Amino acid sequence: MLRKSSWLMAPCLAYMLVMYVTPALIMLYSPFQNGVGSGIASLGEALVEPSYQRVMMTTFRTALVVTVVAVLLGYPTAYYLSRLPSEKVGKYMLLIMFPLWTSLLVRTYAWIALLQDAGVINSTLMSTNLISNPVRLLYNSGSVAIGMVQILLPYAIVTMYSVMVGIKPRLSQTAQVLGASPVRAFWHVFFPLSLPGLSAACLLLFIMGLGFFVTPALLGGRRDMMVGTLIQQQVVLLGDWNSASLLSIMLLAATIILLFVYSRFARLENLVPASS
Amino acid sequence: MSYLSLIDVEKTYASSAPAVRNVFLEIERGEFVTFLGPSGSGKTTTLSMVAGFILPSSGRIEVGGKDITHVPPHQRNIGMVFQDYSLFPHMTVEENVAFPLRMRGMSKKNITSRVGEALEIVGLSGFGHRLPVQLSGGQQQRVAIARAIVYRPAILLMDEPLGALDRLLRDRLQLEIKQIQREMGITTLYVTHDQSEALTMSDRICVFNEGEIVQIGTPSSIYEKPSNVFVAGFVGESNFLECRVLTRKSDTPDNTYVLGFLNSASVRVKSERDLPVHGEAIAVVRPEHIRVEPTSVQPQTTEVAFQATIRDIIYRGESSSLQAILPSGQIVTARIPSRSVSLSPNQQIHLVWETRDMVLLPNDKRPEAVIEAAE
Ligand SMILES: Nc1ncnc2c1ncn2[C@@H]1O[C@H](COP(=O)(O)OP(=O)(O)OP(=O)(O)O)[C@@H](O)[C@H]1O
Ligand SMILES: [Mg+2]
Repeated sequence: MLRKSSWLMAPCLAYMLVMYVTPALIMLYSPFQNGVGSGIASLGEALVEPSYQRVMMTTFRTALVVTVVAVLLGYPTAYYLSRLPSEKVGKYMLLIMFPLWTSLLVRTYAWIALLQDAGVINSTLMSTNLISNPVRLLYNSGSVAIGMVQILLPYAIVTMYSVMVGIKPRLSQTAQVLGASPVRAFWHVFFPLSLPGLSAACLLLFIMGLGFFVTPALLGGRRDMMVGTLIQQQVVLLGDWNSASLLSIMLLAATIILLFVYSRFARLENLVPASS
Repeated sequence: MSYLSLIDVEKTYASSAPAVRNVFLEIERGEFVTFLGPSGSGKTTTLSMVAGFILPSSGRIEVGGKDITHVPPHQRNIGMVFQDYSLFPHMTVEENVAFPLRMRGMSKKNITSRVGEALEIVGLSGFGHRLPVQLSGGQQQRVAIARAIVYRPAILLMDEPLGALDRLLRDRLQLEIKQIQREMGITTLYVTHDQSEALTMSDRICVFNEGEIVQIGTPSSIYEKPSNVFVAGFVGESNFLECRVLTRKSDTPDNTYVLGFLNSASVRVKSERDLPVHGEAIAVVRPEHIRVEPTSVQPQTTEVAFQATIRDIIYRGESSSLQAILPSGQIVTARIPSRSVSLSPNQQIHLVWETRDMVLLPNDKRPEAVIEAAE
């Protein structure tokens, strides 16, 4: 029955084939053609190029910091929601999802309005005489992290919640009647059972963080350039499609490697909230 | 002195009628007490208050004379088994059973030997390294039992532990649980809504209805001397015959009543109960106490006979259920041997039973409503 209906996926598959797979393959192929550019023609050269290495390091570091912060902030929230009776969760979820329905650009510019020298935070601090000169809050790795965490937090919460909600409250009660204090019941029973959600959230956020473009480009300084911004510069400013696609390949490779490593330890389905 | 006491315990969940109220219960050390009652009658709520998951709205719970009402669950030293086993899915069988010992800071060596003992008691010695998902339901419940007794708790609570298992397995585990309980001398509260389970396992049964204990007593006293219509209908099958008290001769220990039944002869019955003369009453007769006789046979002086017409005979395996209709229109069920070939529908018969097998109850509720609630 189900097999016969698989053609229902055909429109979507056709679209993805034309609009995603083909361009990706072209991109993978193009660097090995000669063309205009900075002279970096091969993956090997790209990997040892110091400026690329620096950008890659920044990218990984930022993604890591953002992932850790967002997961730490999201875990207690997801825990709390997963212990609520299901009819009460809806309105909280609505609040959590709400930022996702606001344009990314709007949210990023809002951070600029808040953080800039003449922004809301600095002018408030100055008017209360806490500081005499504006503090530099914008265009550094801190502002990038703040902006990215804010955008990624809902994904972290929803991913962890979907695993936690499957952990029966009864288990924690059982642990307590067997002699575990509430804190020990959490660490011995709830936490280990929530690890699939935690690791899925980490992976999801890290991969999403690697490819971030708008937020680091608008909130970051020159020294905080991430690979997404670099790719955009190569294409738009320098017209160097070769380098751009080499960088894209490196990004894609990093993602595939991460997914592969993850799949060795956990089920990939955990990455999709609806599956659990 | 009793070991576990529930003193006027009441629990009201947010903005609704009390889920449990007026619970007074005194349990001896080593006693096996069963909570029996229909769904929603407050059995789990009462058990949860003993476990410490739920704080009573009022009243006290004492163990060995000490008030434990406000002691958190992990400090109560109580063992518990749930219907859904509630094993920790990320731990092996051994780790599950070792959990309460680890929480008590026992040394590795002692833990290993105790876990081994407990698994042997429940007959799962070779299964230590399996995960719960690799076990059948019955095996999982055995692990849960091992885990609940391995630290030799003072009290064992079991909430419908066999509810998810099939008939044969239930019968076997009933015996095993009873044996373990007796050998360890562990005070046990056991929840079930299966009356035969309650009757076979318990020292005493506590029948719950609508949040209250309606009768406490030994299995035989609950079955043979139900104190109200609800218990008579819920524990075992009963026929409820409405009648009127015609005369009463007060005496000790028993009063002698003459009862009038609609469209039937009057009957002389002894009962401990105080019933007003001319008041309504209900006479309860168990189907297995009723004999079916030809109309030609006259009853003994210690017996009553009711004229009836057979309506239906329902085959039930070890016996059959005969349904007969009285002249009053009421239907009475009798248990008869399965191979009673001489009986057939529309036949005129006598339903005969000993007067001492009748239990007389005040007519406080319509029995039909009660029977429906019990089913
Ligand atoms: N958390 C709760 N909040 C509100 N009402 C509750 C809650 N738990 C139980 N109740 C109510 O309290 C009453 C008693 O419930 P309880 O679970 O004790 O019944 P039970 O005898 O164990 O029934 P069952 O045989 O179905 O398990 C029911 O009316 C139930 O609806
Ligand atoms: Mg219950």
